[in-house]
Amino acid sequence: MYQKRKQGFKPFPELVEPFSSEEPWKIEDTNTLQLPSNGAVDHRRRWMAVPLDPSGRPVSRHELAHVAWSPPHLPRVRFDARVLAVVEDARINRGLDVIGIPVYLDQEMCAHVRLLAARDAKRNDTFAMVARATASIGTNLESDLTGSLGGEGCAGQFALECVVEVRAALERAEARSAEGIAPFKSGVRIARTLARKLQAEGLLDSRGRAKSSIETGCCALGHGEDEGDEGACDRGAAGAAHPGEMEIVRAPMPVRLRSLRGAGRSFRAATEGSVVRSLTRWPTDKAIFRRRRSGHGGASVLVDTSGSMSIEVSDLDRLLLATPAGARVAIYSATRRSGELRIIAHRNRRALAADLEPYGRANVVDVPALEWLAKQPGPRLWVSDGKVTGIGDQPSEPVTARVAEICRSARIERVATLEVAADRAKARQRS
Amino acid sequence: MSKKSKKNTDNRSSRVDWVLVERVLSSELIRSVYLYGPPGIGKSYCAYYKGRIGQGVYACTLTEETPAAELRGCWFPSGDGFVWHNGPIACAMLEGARVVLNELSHASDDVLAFLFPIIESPETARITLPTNETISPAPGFSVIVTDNLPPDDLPPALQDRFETVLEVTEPHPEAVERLSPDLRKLALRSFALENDRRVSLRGWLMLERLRPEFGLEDSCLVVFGAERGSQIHDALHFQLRGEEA
Repeated sequence: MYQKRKQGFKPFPELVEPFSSEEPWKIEDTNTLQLPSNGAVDHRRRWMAVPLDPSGRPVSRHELAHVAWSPPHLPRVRFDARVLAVVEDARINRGLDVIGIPVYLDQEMCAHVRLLAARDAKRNDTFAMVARATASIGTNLESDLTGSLGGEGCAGQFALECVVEVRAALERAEARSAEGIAPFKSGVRIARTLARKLQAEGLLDSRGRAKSSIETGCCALGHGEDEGDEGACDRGAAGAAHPGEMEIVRAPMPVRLRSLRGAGRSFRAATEGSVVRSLTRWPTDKAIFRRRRSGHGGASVLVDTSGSMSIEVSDLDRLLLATPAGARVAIYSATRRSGELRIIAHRNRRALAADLEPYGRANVVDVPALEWLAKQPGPRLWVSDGKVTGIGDQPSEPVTARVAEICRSARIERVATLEVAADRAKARQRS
Repeated sequence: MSKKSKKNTDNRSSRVDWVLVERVLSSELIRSVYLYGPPGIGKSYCAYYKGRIGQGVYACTLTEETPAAELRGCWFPSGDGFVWHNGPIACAMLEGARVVLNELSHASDDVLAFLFPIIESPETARITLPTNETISPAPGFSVIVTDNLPPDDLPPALQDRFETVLEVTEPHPEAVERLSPDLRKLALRSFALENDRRVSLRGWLMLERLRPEFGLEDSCLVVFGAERGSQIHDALHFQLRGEEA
């Protein structure tokens, strides 16, 4: 199943920031980044990372609220900054709830956070239990996490007590505020009180630092050391047997492709039009006019731009310069788990050289890319060295067999170089 | 250089604004204008309604399949024979009217070649129709091209024939004025975004129209689609929550 285009999921921090700026924010997808959390924001760099998929909406809301209501950077405090970060998350979540767009995590994200919370409890990491439960205040997970804390003995009771106090303090601050949202200063005060309580319990040392390894870059809910399972899936033989997820994107195509003399020029008879061509049809069907026939005039070319191919952007640019109008050209490559197929030429237009950079250095998505090529008009050319892989960029027998089957059934011709592909595409159009 | 003139130079915007565009469209010295910029900022609106439009305006939106004959004119069956009908460019040339060509970058080679003698200097601009009639542009004839792309991709000889090439990036102020103050502030911020997140003025105007009947959330969904609409709604909700409540 191919993912939908990501662009539609990009949030608009420019519309919520307190002061207008001409410089747009850079939005990145946390699914393709190695971040400890599923959302992050950096006011000074004007950078935001959120999951660019349907499940990312609550994360986007949360990060937008940071842009609107949090200061550009958290102030220095004399206690562990993670305490302030989780209280700030709770303040933000409560604020979103007040204005009517609450953070409502989907079932998958809830299950993920519950798993992390269970691990905190198993490790007796009371600080992490407090942090995670505090960060969940104002979300649909709050009752779940606080409910489970009751069964975790003294540490759970202490964490529950902390959460209840933070929540009560936030509610008091909200009641005093005209907008119904606790001010940031109140959040700092509440964090300081929480830090004192944690210190009294021995969870913070004399310098106010906690030993816990929980990371709180922004939203502490989804932070944790759970990469082991996914990593194992990457590297294991079972993972390599499956192709990665692939997204199909279409690069902007502002440049016109040159057309070969006489190529792609075909006309059809029509009963309406501007140019009279076949007067002899007047007594029969009256289709005396000619109209240009729109359609596909060239080949479909799929280029593997993974590292093993060593294809430079300049090589692709030359291919597109040599590509006649009518051809469809796409490139694909991947990271270890997922990849992208980018359409860079279609009908009589092509992308700019700036949009030809490969997505990653791995293959991983050969199968879905060839399945896409199989649906395109023929002849179908695949520029590749023939090396195909699955998840983790590992070769596997099932992937190789599937690729061979697609090539055979869709009459896909593999060519080794871009030059050969360009020659074949031109020959096709001339014929 | 005096202090005063220095100050004036510094204050001058390097961008083409709509005031200048309207001055160009009103000028009798300029016969061909290439006006380009992002979609939905009011280029076509300006080309249709601003400047010298007293003799009328003909408009064509060009596609890859549009033949030159559609612009020049064609024979139509009539009874036992055929009669010649002038196309919009031939009509505009004869009447001294304005012709607006939208999306020239999508035009076929056929149309581009046909435009060479049209966008010539007045002394040499002329075409001979299939009726053997040769027509020259009457006084007042002008060609305004609107496009999203710069003319870089056009044949150099055609680029050279445009007397003015204007890029506008800001939406037309008259169109922005039609937005309510709360939406206007947000719309102005959105125009500077990169292409894949840019919200066009058309979208904002439609949202403005639908909001009273559908409410903010549903209006965003129907105007911008489910994914983009939900993101725009969330951002707007921060600023408009008082009103919605």
